[in-house]
Amino acid sequence: MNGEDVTARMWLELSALAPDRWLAIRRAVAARIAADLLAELDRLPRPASRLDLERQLRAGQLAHRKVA
Amino acid sequence: MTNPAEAETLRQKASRLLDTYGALGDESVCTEAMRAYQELLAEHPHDAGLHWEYGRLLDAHGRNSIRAAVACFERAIELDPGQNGPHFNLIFSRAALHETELVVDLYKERLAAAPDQIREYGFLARAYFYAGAREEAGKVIAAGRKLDPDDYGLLDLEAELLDAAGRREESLAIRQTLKQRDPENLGSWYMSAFTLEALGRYEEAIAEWRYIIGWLEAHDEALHTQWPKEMIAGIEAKIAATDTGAGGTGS
Repeated sequence: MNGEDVTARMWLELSALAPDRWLAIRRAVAARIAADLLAELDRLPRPASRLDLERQLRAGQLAHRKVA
Repeated sequence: MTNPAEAETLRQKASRLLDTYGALGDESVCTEAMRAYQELLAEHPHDAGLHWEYGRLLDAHGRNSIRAAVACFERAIELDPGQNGPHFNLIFSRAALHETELVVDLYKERLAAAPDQIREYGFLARAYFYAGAREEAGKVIAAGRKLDPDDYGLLDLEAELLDAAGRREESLAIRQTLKQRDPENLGSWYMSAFTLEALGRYEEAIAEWRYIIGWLEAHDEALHTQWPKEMIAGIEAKIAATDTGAGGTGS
């Protein structure tokens, strides 16, 4: 049984054991998962700046036009 | 007084219209420029400069069309927030414009606001994936699967991510699971066909395409069988080339 199977089983049992509180538990866990994820993503360098690439492309086309 | 536009040659006019369209994005100017370049190219089919300029015009027109599409997807999302499709189109179109940062930021904000919505993990993961940020995409998928380990969309994206990372056998294993879970969704058959072809498992790839064709014909979608048939023809050509190469080595 891998980690994902354990997680799936745990969720299933939780929803059966505490059906009335299930949604609140899920929301609380989700908030924690997302907060940890977003904090981790913010620590990583941003993906290459594609917007800059686009601007360079446009500027380059203008430059080529002037040369031509 | 002479109007400068009257004295210019067709070539000068085309260049002027290209310049104006690049600056202002007026589609009527683009249409006029296209007509001018098509006329010039008919007269001078071997003029490299003309092909270059016409290509730049088409490129600018294409980008502006995608920008208009982005506005449509944003409006569709605004009008019907529950639909998933326009989000995926928005992410794809922004990627085509090299504006992945905008959607990464947007879907990070959306995830922070609705962390229990599993689809938000899918949107953000895809935004990173199209930005070429596979590590980040993988982290988002893993986080989403903590919440819902069996989510179809996240598994589908994980299969794509594994394929992109060259882990094709693992990708195929997930595809097999997805096919069993939803045989009516052809997505995994298409993706398996590409993966099998990339692995050189041509006969298996053809079998996937034949399944797709059979499904489409059975569902009155024969119109869409043309491309799968072309794909099969392409793979058969590869097999023939391989056989010829193998046969020719001994002579």
